[in-house]
Amino acid sequence: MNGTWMALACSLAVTGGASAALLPLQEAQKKAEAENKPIVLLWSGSDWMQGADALQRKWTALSESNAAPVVWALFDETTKTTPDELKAAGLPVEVWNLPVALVMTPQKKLVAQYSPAVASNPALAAKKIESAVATAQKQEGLLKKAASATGRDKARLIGKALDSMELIDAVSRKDLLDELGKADPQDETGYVFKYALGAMPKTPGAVSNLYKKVNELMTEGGKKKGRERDFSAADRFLAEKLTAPVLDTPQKQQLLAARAYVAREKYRATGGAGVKNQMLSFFRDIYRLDRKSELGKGARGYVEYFTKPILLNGLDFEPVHLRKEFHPWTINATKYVTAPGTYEITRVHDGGPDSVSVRNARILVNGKLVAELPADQRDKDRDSFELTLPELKPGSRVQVEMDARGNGYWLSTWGHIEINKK
Amino acid sequence: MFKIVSFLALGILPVSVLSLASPAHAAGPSGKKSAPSPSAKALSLFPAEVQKALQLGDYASAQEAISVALDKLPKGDSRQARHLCAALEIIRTAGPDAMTAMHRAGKKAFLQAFLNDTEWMELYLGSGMVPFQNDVGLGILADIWELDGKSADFGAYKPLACALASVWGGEEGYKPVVQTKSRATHNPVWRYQFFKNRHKAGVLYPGFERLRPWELRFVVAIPEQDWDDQSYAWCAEKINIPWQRYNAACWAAPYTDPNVFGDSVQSPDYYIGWPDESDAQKTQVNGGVCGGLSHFGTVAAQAHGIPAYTVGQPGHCAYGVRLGRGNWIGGFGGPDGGMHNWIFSKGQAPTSFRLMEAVFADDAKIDAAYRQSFQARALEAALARKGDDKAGKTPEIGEQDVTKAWEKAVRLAPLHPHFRRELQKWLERSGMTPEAWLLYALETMRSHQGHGFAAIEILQDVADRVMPQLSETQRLEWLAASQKCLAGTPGSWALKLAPVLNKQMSYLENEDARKQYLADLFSAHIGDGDGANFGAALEWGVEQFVDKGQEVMFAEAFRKAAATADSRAGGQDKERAGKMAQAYRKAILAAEKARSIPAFQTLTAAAAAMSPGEKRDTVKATLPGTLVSDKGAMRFSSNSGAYDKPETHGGLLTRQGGSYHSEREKTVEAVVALPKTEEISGVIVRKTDGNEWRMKKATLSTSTDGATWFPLSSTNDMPKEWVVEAGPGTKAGWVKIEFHNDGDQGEFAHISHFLIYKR
Repeated sequence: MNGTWMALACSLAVTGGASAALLPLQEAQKKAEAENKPIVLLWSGSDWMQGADALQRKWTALSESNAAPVVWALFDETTKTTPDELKAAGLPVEVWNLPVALVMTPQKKLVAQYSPAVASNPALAAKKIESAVATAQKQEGLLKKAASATGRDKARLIGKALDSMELIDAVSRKDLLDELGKADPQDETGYVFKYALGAMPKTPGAVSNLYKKVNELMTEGGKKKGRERDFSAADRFLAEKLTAPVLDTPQKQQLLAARAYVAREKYRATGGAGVKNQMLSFFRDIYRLDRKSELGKGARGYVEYFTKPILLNGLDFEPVHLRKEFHPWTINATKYVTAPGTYEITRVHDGGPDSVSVRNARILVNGKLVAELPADQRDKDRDSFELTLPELKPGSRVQVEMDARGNGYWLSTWGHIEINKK
Repeated sequence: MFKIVSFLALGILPVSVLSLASPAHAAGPSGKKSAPSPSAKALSLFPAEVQKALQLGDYASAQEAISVALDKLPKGDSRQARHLCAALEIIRTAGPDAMTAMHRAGKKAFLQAFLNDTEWMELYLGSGMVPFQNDVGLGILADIWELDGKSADFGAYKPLACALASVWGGEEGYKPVVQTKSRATHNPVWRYQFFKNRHKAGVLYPGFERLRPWELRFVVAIPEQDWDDQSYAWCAEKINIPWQRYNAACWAAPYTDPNVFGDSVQSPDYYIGWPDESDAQKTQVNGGVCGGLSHFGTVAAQAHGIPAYTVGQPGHCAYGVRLGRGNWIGGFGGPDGGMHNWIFSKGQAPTSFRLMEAVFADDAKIDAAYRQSFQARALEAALARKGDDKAGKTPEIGEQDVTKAWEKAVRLAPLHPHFRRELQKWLERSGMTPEAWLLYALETMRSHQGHGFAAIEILQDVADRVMPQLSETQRLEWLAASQKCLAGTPGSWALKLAPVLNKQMSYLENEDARKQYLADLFSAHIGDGDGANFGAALEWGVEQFVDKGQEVMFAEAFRKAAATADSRAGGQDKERAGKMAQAYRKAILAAEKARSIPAFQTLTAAAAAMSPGEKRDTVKATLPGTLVSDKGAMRFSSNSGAYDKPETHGGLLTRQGGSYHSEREKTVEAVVALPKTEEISGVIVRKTDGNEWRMKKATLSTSTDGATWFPLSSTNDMPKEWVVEAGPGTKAGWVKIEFHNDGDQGEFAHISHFLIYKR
């Protein structure tokens, strides 16, 4: 792509231009390459999608009334389209929710993709396409400069071209990512790492690569296990990566998630309120950056997971109630603790390998702690506890709490709690 | 006793029994034409005593009164008899106490509407599963009726309501997991509205309105591993692709382990960050592995009205999608394995879905068969009353009448295991001789052509009981017939032939009989079928005979079978060697199709011995570590019938070399299966001499489950000897090479070596 079509670009004013109707993709690409214009594609399905014909008519009308310097195209994926035909179309992205609109270079490289909500609304699509053409112009200018630059300068220009796109679209540009890597093999710009992080979680390979690297650092390539792992090395790596100025919110959130993971592994291995608080602070930083993103929502979920007690189903527990770290269990015990006195509280193993540890049983009445173990018996794993309740007013709400830990695997173990007055 | 069997064989049935099996009027069984509420005419189908008991909610008395009324019906009044039989069957299966409880719990109006609607009752009872002692299904029908029963179009959605009731209700001895889920998240009434609304909006699969309850069972839920209601809403909104692509819809969700917070899918922590999202949303947005993705693909298909199910496989989870009757296609390595939704054979696919499709293929026949089964149940009830009747007021009825009624149901639906099981129960009561049972078994296997495993299953109890009473010759006759039946059954890796063969061998007492059995086994499979069951039979033969030092017996049986195949094909003595080679080729291809490493190894070794000294291409490159492919097996996407020599496939995995010649394909695929997952050091693939210009674009991938592939390397200009070193930690139980060919015609692939080294 050179600057010719860029020079032709202008706003998508609906001015009664002379564009042809939607062309089949192959024909559109030939025309786009000949005229050096971007392709605007409606990807639809005429024989299975409700309202597809009407949508196609609206897009045809849009293409005929619009003066944009683009080639309008249609890819009609019908119930007769074979996998080979779909592959042969050479579309730059996989799509699972049609209709969509794609803006592509004449070589069918992705510039932008728009959801069914946009594609179904041609007026809205026109505005988005205007923006995409501007993106393409900007990208074109940057890439033209990059073509004559070398090293870090070239990498920065390519990085900025990628930054001009939506993240999910940018990571699909393997051609630009390859060029970026070649231009900056040591990643002095930080762009290589930024785009290697992908658009998590939509680029799953990137997720596993990041955690693979983190685990390698922690374990020194598999040599260290448990509490011997080098948590600091992994955290230093992530903290250093976070300083790269080119990072945007999604990458920062992802790196913070990995720091929270390192802190959690340390907490599970060593315990301690300080480590737990550090982990929680990373989660909170994630959702402060963007509460509405999936990472933001997920981080809030993790904070709740680690701060709210687990409410058992009656007296029964099962694997979903067990964590890899000690966590409070709450048992609604109002119907079992009905009078003052001494109670024996026992954990009973019912099935699976017995991988559960419990400690620190206590009784709360109306939310207030009224009975707990003597200090010398706390933080020690036991299966049975004796607690004495000095008084209990009728109608009080009684809860039994204890700290429990399992191995954190599906189908690990299950059992129940017995509460008996002595 | 013998006459009963002859009825089955000759198709002769008493006229009196036939009258109920024919449709009595034009209204279809789907209920689509029936009115939303019972007509006055329908109400009159119950005699006064029955109506009185129903009004009072006394279902035990109603049950008795219906049975008595059936006795008194004049011959030929089939409309009323049909209605009474259906109502009697509803009360029997739900249980009179449960129905009385429903009556008292405010469901009287529903019960009245339902019990006066012949077609609706038959539709529910014909949903596939037998709703025995189960008020859950009726409760769901009641809830739906209270919501929508007065709608003008309710009749059109009765199949949907029946499917939901059937899925949640289960059957005798089977309580589906979905029944235990909270109705706040897994609500059959919500799903009824969801599918009805989407159907009315015109956004469901075009065949949806023709689906019957047994088919809709696979649309409305996954009974054993259901996802929440909102997952259906999510998939309806977020996944919209042409119907034929839903077997790939699993890939709309990212394959991710660990998740973005580093948690492994092996722990319950994987989705803790998003407790408020539906199962589908959290999977599509935050990822999953085979289980999550296969569920996602299944629910995406179902949300669009396409029948689908998830399926468990060893170390993997996949799914199946149905595009039209009988046309189940796999997603993520499906559709075979252990289905999480089924009607027959406890969900062992493909047996289960193939049998289901065959049983229900003819709407009119299966409806008639079900009606006949209700008649048989009514006769059972009458017989039971006779047993209790000291005053002798019941009409003359004997066990043979019940037997004949079940016999007729079986003749209308010979593959239906429920009906056949009932028939066998009554035949056993009749004291049938072992010789008659042999004839019955032979007839059953004839009627189960293409459904061999289903035949074995339904006859298992009979075989265990009768075999010891038969002579060795008769046993061999039974077993040879079963092998013919199995050989003609489409094969699958998921079909477990070995336990069947072990069981059959245990019926034989002397070595000559066992030798004959082995020859019969090979003979049946060599002459029929798609090869997969043959491969499994060969694998079993290797394990049971060759590995236990009886290789001579194995070889003799194989030669005997091959010779039989020769004579069947009209072979001459001079062609014998060539025919034998053909038998081995077919056997090796069968072993490949069956993915049997032991059978592949044994047969390729035996075949190689037949052609010693054959010129082989040589490989120069090598890799560090130990060659491990020579202990494995191969399979291919195609084989050139004219040029490929399967007897040389084993050599491909060794440094001595072999040869493989594909058909012309756009993508040629060759897979090596290793005996176990290894940490590999690399792979060498070599083109055969003279074919260097072919096979330019190629991709190598590895897998640890045989279904999920990870790229190892790719090239656009593959050298003659392509050597790919694997990084540390690269594990593989399978290694695949794909040759990608441009153009519509495709291209051949020819390789001489496919070597894998472990560290």
